[in-house]
Amino acid sequence: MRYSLMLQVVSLMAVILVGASGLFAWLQNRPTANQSPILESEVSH
Amino acid sequence: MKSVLTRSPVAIAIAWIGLYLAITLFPLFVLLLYGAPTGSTFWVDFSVALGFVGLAMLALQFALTARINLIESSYGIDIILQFHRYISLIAFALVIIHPLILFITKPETLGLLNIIEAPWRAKLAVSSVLALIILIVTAIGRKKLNIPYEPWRIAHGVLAVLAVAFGLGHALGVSNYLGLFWKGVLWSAIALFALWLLVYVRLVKPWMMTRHPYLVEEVIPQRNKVWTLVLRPRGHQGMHFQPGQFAWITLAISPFRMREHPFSMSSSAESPERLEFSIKEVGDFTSTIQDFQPGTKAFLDGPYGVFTIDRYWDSAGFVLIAGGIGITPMMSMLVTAADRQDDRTFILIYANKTWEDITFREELEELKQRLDLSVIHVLREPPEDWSGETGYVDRELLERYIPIHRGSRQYFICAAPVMMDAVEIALHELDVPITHVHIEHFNIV
Repeated sequence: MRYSLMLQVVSLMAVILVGASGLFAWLQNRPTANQSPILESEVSH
Repeated sequence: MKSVLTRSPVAIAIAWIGLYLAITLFPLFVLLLYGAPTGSTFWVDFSVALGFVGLAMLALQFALTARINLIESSYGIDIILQFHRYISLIAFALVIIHPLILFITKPETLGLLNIIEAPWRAKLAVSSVLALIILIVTAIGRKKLNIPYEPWRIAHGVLAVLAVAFGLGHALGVSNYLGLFWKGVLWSAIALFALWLLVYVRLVKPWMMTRHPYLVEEVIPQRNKVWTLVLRPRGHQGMHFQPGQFAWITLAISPFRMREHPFSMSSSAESPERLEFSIKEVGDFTSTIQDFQPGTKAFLDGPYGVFTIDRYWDSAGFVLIAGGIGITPMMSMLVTAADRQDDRTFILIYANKTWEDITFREELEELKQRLDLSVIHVLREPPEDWSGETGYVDRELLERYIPIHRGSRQYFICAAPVMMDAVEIALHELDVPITHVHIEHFNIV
């Protein structure tokens, strides 16, 4: 029974690790505040 | 705060899990300090992150299996080894998914699988994954594949080192996020940490064991193919332990050969100068116990384990549930309690196949004179005139013997896995708090 509890804990840890990896990838590739105005200005010209 | 962290199993678990997650994610935090490299995409970074996390988890496996007392004393080695098994599958999955994402989002990377023409960093990655696959297949299927324990253990260690070393080489060799100073420092530190653990386990610990040798004093035959190996310390005071704990024994060979086996002490913790291990003939090594002559050199690594009544000094009493050779740690608890003139109540529910199979049958009768001890024998094949309990230790049987105030006692189970699972579930159904139930496996490795 405690092994099934552990399995649930390990599964939760896996979700956290994959989620954190996804968050890391998003943070590294998110549009930055500097980029947007430049793009807008390019479009308006 | 200290009291919570030392006494509450839930708080200890949260603290350890938090530390584990922090260590595995730390390499990603370091990378966040730098911007993403040019040309990176979400999927490339996601893949890289999974690879880093998987690699950090693999490196941490060395810490989980290094028998570090600080880690082991929280939950016991069998729980940690089970965590090691489960988490290794997660790490393996992350390591495998890491290139798969690249293959799908950047099909040109499939060319890296051509290990003849691929750059060395890709060769290292493929080698690491291959080592991991062999590692996991031989670990899960060791018994089905009939791989003997000792060569398997050596191969397991070698493959683990290869998998992590190749993985680390790959991580340092790939251009993504490479050349970043702190990242290099961090991964080098992780590699050195894993290397130190390896040196500690393979060299430092065996050296410490050689400083405290023991000699076999006698080998006593018991009922049901069990042999009690008696060890006496040579030139030191012996090993102080808590009743129910175990040690890794090396017999007749140097501890540097890493051919050691875990066994529970069955003797009194009040007599560290005479250590007894009651061992059942079940495998290659255990079948040779009877052949060891008095005077044979032995070495011990221990004590280990949290399966002990000493952690619960304020409990009103104990319910011990043993199946077959699972009696060994219980015997240590009972003789120690008798030596200490412990006045608490002990209930022993002891399952065996036949009346003649009951190891320590006579010794338990004697202990009843020295302790407030009730012994309930449960026989699967009872003699004709048997009036005691028969069959299996199930919910109905337990309900007849455990106290009404369930939480007033601590419950210890040591038996075959099937019986242990059934008893644990039955105790849960009988409203025994899960934190009061303690289990120990016969065969942890």
